[in-house]
Amino acid sequence: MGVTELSKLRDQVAIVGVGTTRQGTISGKDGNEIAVDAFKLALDDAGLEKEDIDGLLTCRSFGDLGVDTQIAPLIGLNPLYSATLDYGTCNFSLHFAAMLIAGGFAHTVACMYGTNQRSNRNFFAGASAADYALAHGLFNIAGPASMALRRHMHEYGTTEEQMSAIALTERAHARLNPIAVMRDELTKDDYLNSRYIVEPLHLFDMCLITDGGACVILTSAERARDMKQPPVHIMGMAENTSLRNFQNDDQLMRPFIQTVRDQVYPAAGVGREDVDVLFIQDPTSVWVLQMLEWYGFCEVGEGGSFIQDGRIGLGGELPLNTNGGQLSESYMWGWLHIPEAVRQLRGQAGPRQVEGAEIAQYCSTMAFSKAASTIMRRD
Amino acid sequence: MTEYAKPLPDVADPNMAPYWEAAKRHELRMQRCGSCDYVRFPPARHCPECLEENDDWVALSGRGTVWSFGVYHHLFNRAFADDIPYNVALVQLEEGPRLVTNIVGVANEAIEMGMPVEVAFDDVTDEVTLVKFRPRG
Repeated sequence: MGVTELSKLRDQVAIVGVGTTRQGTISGKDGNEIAVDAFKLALDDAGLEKEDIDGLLTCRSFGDLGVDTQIAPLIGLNPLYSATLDYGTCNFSLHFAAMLIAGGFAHTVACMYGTNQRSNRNFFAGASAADYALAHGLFNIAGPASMALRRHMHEYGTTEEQMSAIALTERAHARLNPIAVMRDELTKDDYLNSRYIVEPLHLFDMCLITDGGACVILTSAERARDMKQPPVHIMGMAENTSLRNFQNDDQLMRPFIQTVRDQVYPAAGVGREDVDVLFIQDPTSVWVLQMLEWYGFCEVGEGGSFIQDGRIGLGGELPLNTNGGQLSESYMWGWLHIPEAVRQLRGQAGPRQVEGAEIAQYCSTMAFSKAASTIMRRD
Repeated sequence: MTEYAKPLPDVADPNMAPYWEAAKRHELRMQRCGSCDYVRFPPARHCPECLEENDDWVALSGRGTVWSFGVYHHLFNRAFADDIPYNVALVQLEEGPRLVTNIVGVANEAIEMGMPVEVAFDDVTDEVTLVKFRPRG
């Protein structure tokens, strides 16, 4: 199982279109309508007609929306294959799309997500736990994230000052991104003086809930050859789960991500040293710290020092989340990292462009229970 | 006495009921598999290790250590307004399972990682007793 089979998918599938709507507060539209807006933008980007789409993968969103049976009628399609994923980050949807294309279930697949949870005031007060945990006041993903960070600080000496580098770097990137929601300058003092949400997590370690939509269109490498945009090729993909939750030792530290690391680079046929621009899903900054380590960009425990001195900034050794990430661009359940990776690899990232970017990687998780990574290259 | 306004667990849940009934008697009990001795939490009909159904609700030592904790400064639920800042901890029990809980009888600033703790039952309503932990000497 694993690497040998996964490498069969290398360069078989490509991303040919991306669409991202305005982010922030989008009054008067529900999540499905915003997803349709993103779909239109992605079709236009790809130079495709909606009839070219024969696979549909939607993503469940706030208010019981985002279901394929709801969205297909809105876009007037009877796709050959459709499904709805219960979780976001785009990575899992992208992998599913690649399986559908490689397996012949569909030729060209649109993955989409739309939400209006900001204007509808979804505060995720109860999203992170069953009632057992709520009785003890464990609200929001900030709770378990704070425990994971405190454990990291305890075991490895990571400091709040070190952690500020993630929020500050991403904010600096967001200031170059016209669709980013958070674009005011952020200083280390601002970070350290900001209130705790759940100590030791500061306000700026947390993302902001937003409305928005995103859509990514994939097809076979062969079909991708003659399209409007240069294709972005999917080199390698891998996943792993930790679904037993607290039955697992160290669940909040997420060591199960190592299995994804061990598979995704051989699947892609490249090493982490070949990655020109890195994307890590970041509902909280703790995700970035943990994934830099588990993917081997630094040793486990050394994430705090690794992120210093501009290393993860534009112009640094490993530019990270050039869009501003979820911390500063927009929450969107991690759906905006892939569109940014695609723009970087097409050379369309404007002032955020990483010079000569050839290979990008995206790492994401579904809470503490699933992990996925994708390595992409330019044409 | 003011009414208890915080979220309450569903003590009638068929899998959880024995846990809550024990807590009300100030006992910490969990299922130990009669076939493979695995202690499971949350409660479930089948043992997740060996998939057998025979289990005993055994009394645990009530001892554990603080694996980690967070201190809530942001108010996510109004019922906790008077408690801010309050801690939520993950306690590693001697018998294996980990519990989301609160550490009581100590200031937040004095909670330490790895701190030995013992169970402290909190009768929050006539029906519900929550399982909390306090420092152990």
